[in-house]
Amino acid sequence: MSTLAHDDHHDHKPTGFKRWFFSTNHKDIGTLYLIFALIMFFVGGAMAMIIRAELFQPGLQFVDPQFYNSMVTVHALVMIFGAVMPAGVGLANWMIPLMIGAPDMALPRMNNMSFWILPFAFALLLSTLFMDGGAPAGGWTMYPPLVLQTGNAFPFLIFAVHFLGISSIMGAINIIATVFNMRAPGMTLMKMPLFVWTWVITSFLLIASMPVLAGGVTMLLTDKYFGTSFFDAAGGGDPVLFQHVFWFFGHPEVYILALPAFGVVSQIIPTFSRKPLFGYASMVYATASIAILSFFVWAHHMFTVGLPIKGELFFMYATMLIAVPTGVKVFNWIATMWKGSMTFETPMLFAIAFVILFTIGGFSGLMLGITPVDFQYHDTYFVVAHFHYVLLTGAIFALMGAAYYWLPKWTGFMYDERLGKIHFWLSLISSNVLFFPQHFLGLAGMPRRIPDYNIQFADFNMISSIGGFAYGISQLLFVYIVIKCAMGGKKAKALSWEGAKGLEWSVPSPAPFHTFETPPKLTKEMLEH
Amino acid sequence: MDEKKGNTGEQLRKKNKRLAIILSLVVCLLYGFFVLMHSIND
Repeated sequence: MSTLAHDDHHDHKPTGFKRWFFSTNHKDIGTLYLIFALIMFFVGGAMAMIIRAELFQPGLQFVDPQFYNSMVTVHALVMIFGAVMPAGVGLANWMIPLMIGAPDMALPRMNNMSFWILPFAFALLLSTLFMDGGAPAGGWTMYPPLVLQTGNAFPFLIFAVHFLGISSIMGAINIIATVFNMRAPGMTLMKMPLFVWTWVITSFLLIASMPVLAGGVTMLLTDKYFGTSFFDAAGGGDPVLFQHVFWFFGHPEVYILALPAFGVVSQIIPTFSRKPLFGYASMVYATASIAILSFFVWAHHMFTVGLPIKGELFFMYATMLIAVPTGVKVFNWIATMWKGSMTFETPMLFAIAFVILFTIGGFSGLMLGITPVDFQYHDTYFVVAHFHYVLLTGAIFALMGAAYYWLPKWTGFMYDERLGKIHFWLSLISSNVLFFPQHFLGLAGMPRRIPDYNIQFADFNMISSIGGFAYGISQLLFVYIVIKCAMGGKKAKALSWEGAKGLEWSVPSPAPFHTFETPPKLTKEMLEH
Repeated sequence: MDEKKGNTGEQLRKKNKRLAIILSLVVCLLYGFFVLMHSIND
């Protein structure tokens, strides 16, 4: 609380274009990231609507197969690299300095650069939609030799991926430097909020995995334009090698998307259960274990390419092993709620839905991790259902919960709780109508990434598409709620939620432009997570 | 007192920069290692 009066006197800030374009302020850059992520969420969402419109009925309805495949490919790239990752980095930018008592991020100019690379990277990627030959259509996994058939869009895809990687790496370096060097006195590592911990671990995942993706796509580029044959069997290369390289990045990437969501949920559940997080230390160790294990399971994405049986067994058992630390986390969240004085504001509803639905996605993931079972499910809609439960009802639900949780701190106003709850229930019902039937489609053998299908799949596809349109429309309500909240409403207190603990709730709402210019004095209550 | 604060700020900036450089080198090494390893293999 000692910082409150101090901060009030120093709230001067630049204005207009300069404020946003040259910003080195962690809160402004966080806001930029979050707005960018929301825009990309709708761009990627529009592509999903095209996919679901095409699949509404069997036969070709609206788009040609090439464009359909472009939609599938670019939807994934936009949602992963444009929506979920930047939203997580936006939250990290806003909240980590506030949570650890730092005046800003450790490297503010690099912070600016890592954000402003993103719009240029996506300009490169999305410009391919207007090119001869169309946008990349070989899937976000960019497997050769298919991806090498991409026309003029190919180098744009490769450079966009490089830029996105550079941006993520710079963000990760910044977070690590901030957490290791900028913590307020008394904020030891094991006293940090779990959201900070999940981001530190995510940052190490980014640093270890992104260069591998960059290496892989560089080799694709040289294969196409410079006469190498890393992945070309005719020249002595091996296309399966790319799959190994890609998934060595790709599986940790799943946790890069999921771990910050775990962090958010670990903040929200204790607040609305009015209890400290159950098993804090085990949560930290479980997060680290998940991150380490994520580097030893990549080949479960490639069981059907013909791996040696010993390799398949190793990757199957390693995959099963991840369920252990993940189970620790799920049980700890439940134990936190157990006998708590729970209330069900919108962030809590999203967090509880996350725990249930992410677990469903986790279980279908376990099914896919069993080698002989995967032979049946591979490349079917069961996989599509699985990763959308993990990423939409998992990561995106947590991000939505985070937005509602911290909106009072960001804007200084409480959001409309009634509308928030309507948004939650619409999202919950529509996303399950959208994705649950896809399990049945996959089990019945409907392949993914195909614009047409056998008539036997018609009913479930129609239900799924209706759910998709409903989910898409209901997200417009979220935009309305956020704008309404930013424009005004009931004033938010510094401690916006009665049960909230932590340093971020000691600064006024909205958080002043500059905070913690002098290190805060930590009280025992602030460190009670 | 102000001078001391300035020194601490400068030291912190140096510390941040040093960590950023080390982590960037790790990134470059990983990238280089992957491409080089496959180039030799090729």
